[in-house]
Amino acid sequence: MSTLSGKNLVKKYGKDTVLKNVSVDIETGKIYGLIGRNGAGKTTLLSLLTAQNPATEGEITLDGQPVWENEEALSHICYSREISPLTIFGPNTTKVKAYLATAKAFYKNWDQAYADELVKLFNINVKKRINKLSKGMLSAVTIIVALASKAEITILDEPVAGLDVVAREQFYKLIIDEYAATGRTFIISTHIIEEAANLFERVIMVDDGKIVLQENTEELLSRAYRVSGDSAAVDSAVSGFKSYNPENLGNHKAVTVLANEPVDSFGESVQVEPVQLQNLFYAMCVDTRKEA
Amino acid sequence: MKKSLATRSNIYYAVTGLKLLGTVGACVLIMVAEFFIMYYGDDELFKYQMNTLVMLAMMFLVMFNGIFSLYSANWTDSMVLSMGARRKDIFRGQIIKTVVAMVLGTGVVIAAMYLTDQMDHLRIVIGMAIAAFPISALFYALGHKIRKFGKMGFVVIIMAATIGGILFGLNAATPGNPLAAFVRNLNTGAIIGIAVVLYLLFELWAYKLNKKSMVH
Repeated sequence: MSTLSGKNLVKKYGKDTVLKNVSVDIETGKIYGLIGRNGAGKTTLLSLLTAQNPATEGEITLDGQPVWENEEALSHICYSREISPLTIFGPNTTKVKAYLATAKAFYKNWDQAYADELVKLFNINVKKRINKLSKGMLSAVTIIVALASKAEITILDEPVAGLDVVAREQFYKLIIDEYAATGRTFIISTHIIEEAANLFERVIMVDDGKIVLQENTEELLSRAYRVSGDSAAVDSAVSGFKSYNPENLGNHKAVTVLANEPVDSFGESVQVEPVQLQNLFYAMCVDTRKEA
Repeated sequence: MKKSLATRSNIYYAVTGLKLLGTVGACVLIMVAEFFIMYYGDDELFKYQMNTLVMLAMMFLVMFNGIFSLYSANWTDSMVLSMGARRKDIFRGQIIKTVVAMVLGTGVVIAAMYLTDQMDHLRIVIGMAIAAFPISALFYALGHKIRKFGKMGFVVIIMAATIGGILFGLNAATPGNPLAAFVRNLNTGAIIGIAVVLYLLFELWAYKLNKKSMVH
């Protein structure tokens, strides 16, 4: 098992600090979900981990070896990012065929047969120019590059943006099938959390340039609860726990609780429900300042 | 067993140099067709065509080489960097692209001149080929910088190129063509020396910018 590590990462753009002393460990053989609000620092973190952008401070290693400008480390990583239909010079007139040919040239383990199969599956016209593709087709090309790269650690940044529900389900199935067949590591950054949550063995949540949690998804959700009932009863039941996003409606109150360990009971006077990952994420992002 | 990353990068950029040549070749063919239509029946058609085409071919080579270099920093290089290329391979690749395009392109032009007994402009052709290297390095460095200035940077480059073109044209229209006379009288060693120094300075600048380049 390998580990892609980022230690004490800081990234500044001018006076703006986008990542604030972030440390993360990615173990191979797992599917990670990377979630966070727009501008939280997800893409920046992924760029640093894959040496696509230089860190202001900190180090990034793969099995102890620096990733920066390291052929061996880079050969194990694929970060397939969102393709822009525009460049600073105007429309991106690169043909899909040329884009995939470049991927073939640079990814050591590129599987052309698999790429061809995926092109057919997503119904992509490879002779089309990138600026003529719809948002969904651009996402499909991103997915094709990621999967056909056959890289040990494969990162997809918002891969389902613009995809219809059928294509999204196809994508999730492809990931599961590929993971089952090869044990590749996937890191998927997405805003459509609820659909993808079942895939994630581990979840990393980024907020305001910091990692607020990186945990096993099942274990995390086993400690997350939605507690509701009479305001006083809820306050009494959740005292001593981290609670987020309190919602009041008259005397009725509901809060999201993230305990340190699974809780057997919050008492008879409140109702307790399990929390989905998306709802936990929402609650934590909306109000991250309420702690025990 | 797949070739090393360095080798794959070198091949990619050598192919880019060939694509650049193809672009220039297409432009030259269009000019050939245009001149043929314009000057058909003229006794001096062949000689006039050859002189003009040699100059245009070299001009297109130098120009497109510079344009490819300008584009690379923010477009194609960003793309290959996002696919696992190393910055040092990209930097070396830019040099390979220029060498492939200029050596092969200039070779084709000189061969055409030799076969048609039009070797009068050999010195200018070689001079333009040499000049392409520092121009390419300069434009590559500018390509890195241009992101900061956006479209205004383009406007400045276009204006500078336009002014240069006007001055060149005025000079060519002036009896005796003072610029050409000046160039002809320059010491060849001095021309090469200046080109090499400028090339090394611009490549050093480009290297420093390339070291910290980011995927956009």
